[in-house]
Amino acid sequence: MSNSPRAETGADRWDALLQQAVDGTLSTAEKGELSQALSRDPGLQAQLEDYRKLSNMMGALPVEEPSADFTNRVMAALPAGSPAGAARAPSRAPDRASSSPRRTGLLSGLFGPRVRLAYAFSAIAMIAVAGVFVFQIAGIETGAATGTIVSRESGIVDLPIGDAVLNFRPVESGEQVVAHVPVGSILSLTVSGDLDSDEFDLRASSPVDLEGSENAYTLVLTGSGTLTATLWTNEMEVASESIELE
Amino acid sequence: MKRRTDATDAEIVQECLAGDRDAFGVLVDRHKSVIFNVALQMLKDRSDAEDAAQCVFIRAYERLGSYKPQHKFFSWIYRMTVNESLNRIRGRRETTELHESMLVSSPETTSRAMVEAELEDRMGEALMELVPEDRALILLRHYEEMPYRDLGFVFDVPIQTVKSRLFTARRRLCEICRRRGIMPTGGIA
Repeated sequence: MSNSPRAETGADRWDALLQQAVDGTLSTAEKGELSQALSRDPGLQAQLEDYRKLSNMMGALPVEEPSADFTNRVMAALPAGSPAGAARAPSRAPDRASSSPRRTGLLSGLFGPRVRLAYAFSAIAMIAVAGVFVFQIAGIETGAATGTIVSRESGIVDLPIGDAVLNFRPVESGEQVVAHVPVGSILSLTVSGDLDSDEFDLRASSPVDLEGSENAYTLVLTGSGTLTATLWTNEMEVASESIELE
Repeated sequence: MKRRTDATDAEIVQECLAGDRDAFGVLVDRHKSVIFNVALQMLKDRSDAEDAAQCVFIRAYERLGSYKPQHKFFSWIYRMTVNESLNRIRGRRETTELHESMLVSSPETTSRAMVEAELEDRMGEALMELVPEDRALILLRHYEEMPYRDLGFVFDVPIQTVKSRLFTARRRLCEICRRRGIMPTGGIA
């Protein structure tokens, strides 16, 4: 058997790791693994060198300037008046404390009517003896997710994703979500089912990225499906949680 | 024209939406160079690239009300730039013609020591051998150093798909560069 790490692990995987090394997106463990492999395999070193060269050559492509009157020509060609949709408020808004009326009914009284914590119902019996309790959340990807219902009185659910928190609160039109994202991180939201939001263009194929900010984001979800939130720091996935809404 | 040049893109968009049409000029000035250069590298025609860039800004203005500030403004207009460039390429059925015209360089020519400008030209030619979608992806990643996440938004695909496409496109570009003598090492299998 060859001692070459490429033979052991598959050339494609090493190739992918080399490319990620050039992009600077390797995890610490991957760095260590690749470093060891590079020290054993000169072919891998040459491969890495090729990707570095490619990156350098691409970065060295010439930068040209458009015509000097480019901006003036664009401005002259703009349609008259304000851009379409000018009356619409921007989607990114500071935290708006909800004053919307709460729904009624058993589930809304306990958890909020639209947040179905599929994992939560076995804990209902605990409500009688505890005002604050913890539920096991079925983490879709990680299988290790946990979430906390902070108060049965408020109908509010807090879902921590690493250092970020999604706060769910039932409102008249659906489920209000307030996202607290730590500065320096990005919280990526994707949905399945027909979940949607007026504020965000939520689709399964195109995550909505909330950049870390001192201010919270607020959106209202309508429809049903699964919301998945993934926290990223330095392009590395830190934590991921999912919650089912109906 | 007096204008806050330190305002964020999102703030300037708000000014535009509030009726300040001239504010859009700040966004054009701020991003015209990168938009033009991405279009230029995609289209390899200065006049066409300038026209494409102009169309992108006009369309951006028209659709400013649909811009969602949770995305970076430049990612939003890059997305339009890539789409505009790809549409133009499809429109002129450029791909096969370029592939044929770009493959005429002889190995003798490419193996000679090249001055920097020549290398840049050859790199540009090598890029044109990629299919337009791969070319756009490589350009935004390496030329503009766009992170995976923003690339996902621009191309409307999940990050894993970005990584996978980038992986294949880079591999292909390395092969092209080796064949053209731009990258003599030949380390990539």
